[in-house]
Amino acid sequence: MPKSLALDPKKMKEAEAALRTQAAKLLSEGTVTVFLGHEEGWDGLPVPFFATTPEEAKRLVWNPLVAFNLAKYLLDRLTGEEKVGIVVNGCGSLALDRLLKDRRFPRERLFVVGIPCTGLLDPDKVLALPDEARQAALEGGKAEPGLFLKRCGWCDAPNPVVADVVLGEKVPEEAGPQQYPRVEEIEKMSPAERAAHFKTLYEKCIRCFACRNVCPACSCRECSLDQWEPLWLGKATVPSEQLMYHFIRAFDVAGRCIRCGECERVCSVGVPLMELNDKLMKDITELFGVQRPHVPADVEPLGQWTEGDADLEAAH
Amino acid sequence: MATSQEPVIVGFLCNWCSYAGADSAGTGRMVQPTNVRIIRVPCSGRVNPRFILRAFQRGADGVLVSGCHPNDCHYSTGNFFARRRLLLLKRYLEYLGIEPARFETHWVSASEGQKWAEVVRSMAERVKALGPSPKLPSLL
Repeated sequence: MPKSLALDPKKMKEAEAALRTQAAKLLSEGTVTVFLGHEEGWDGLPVPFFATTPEEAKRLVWNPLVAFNLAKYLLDRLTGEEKVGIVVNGCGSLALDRLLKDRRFPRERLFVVGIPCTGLLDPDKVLALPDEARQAALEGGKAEPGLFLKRCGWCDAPNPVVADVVLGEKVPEEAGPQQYPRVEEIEKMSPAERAAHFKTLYEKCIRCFACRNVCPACSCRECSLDQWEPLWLGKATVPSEQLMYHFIRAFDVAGRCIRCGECERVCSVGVPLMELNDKLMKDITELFGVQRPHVPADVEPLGQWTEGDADLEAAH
Repeated sequence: MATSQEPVIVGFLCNWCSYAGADSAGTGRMVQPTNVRIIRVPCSGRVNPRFILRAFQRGADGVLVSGCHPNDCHYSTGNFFARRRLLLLKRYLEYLGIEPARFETHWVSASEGQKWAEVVRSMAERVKALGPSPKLPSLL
């Protein structure tokens, strides 16, 4: 997919109609009691929307701006027996699969509607466009590669990996080794340059925890960053605590990150968080031979070992 | 600490092998530097990567993790899991701008007092050569 980022608004319109019909059917038949999707927000940006009646299902939308990760909203519905419907595209299904593999939500209580993805646009960038250009991008499918979400650039899973029903045709996949150009650049720097690079990065962070909250791999019942005892993360916004936070956030999802880049997208101050996640993914591939570290596996790379793993002791 | 002449190395030692190994180095009256401050843990697999960063954050000049040799773990597989995690961690610390030589992992069994003394001696030398750790607060 990365090479041929091709938006197909017509296909998306068809998918939207099919999605509304499907959701209305599920809700009226009682298969699910709630359906997680998106609706049009006040500024044209789709916002998460939970339909509970067939009438409400008509408000569901599917367009190039549905970037929000819905899977995490399932955690609000852990209690009870109700069955939940959810719509996902490729990366949405990876997020969902992450929660399922982490055993955070029972598969039996889910009905997954999958839609093969032809690429999504970055809502912030699109909303900033003049009216005509925005129209052309959203309805005519004429979008510069720079308008796409960053994750579309490295996506190798446009088709849902978890789905009960798939609406629309499969999109051809271009599987190849994942590339990490930003990490390679940073690796070439000297240690002092790297330290300075990350210093400027984390000076920006206001620790709003949006990156943690949006992350489908960060789903502990009680987050260690919120604990007072032990106090892993001091409350002061001093550089060493900033580093501690970003160290913990990235390392705790090492081997489980799905490379959706949502952390980076939701960051209100523009910290390029994926520089850390990508580094860990790159190393997991190099050290343990996991070719697609971002695709949830039954056993995560750090949850297993082989006798042939490189020995650290030899390195000194 | 950073201000003193002698570097401080925080050592996480597994209870079953390395801690006993350090003990046998002591009872064997082997000469070794006094730079390592030992923290006993049940297994090298118990060492959360956060422990290591926390040590650096609080001013350690070096961190040493030592456990049983592969296949000798008291809990069968703890050190294998630790090995994967620490391999990844070592590269990650380097990426963040912390000199990789400040963090080492060794396998020392209960009978290897001699090896323990050697590990401590050589690591203390290397860390001393690096000079005091810039400490994370000023590093970043």
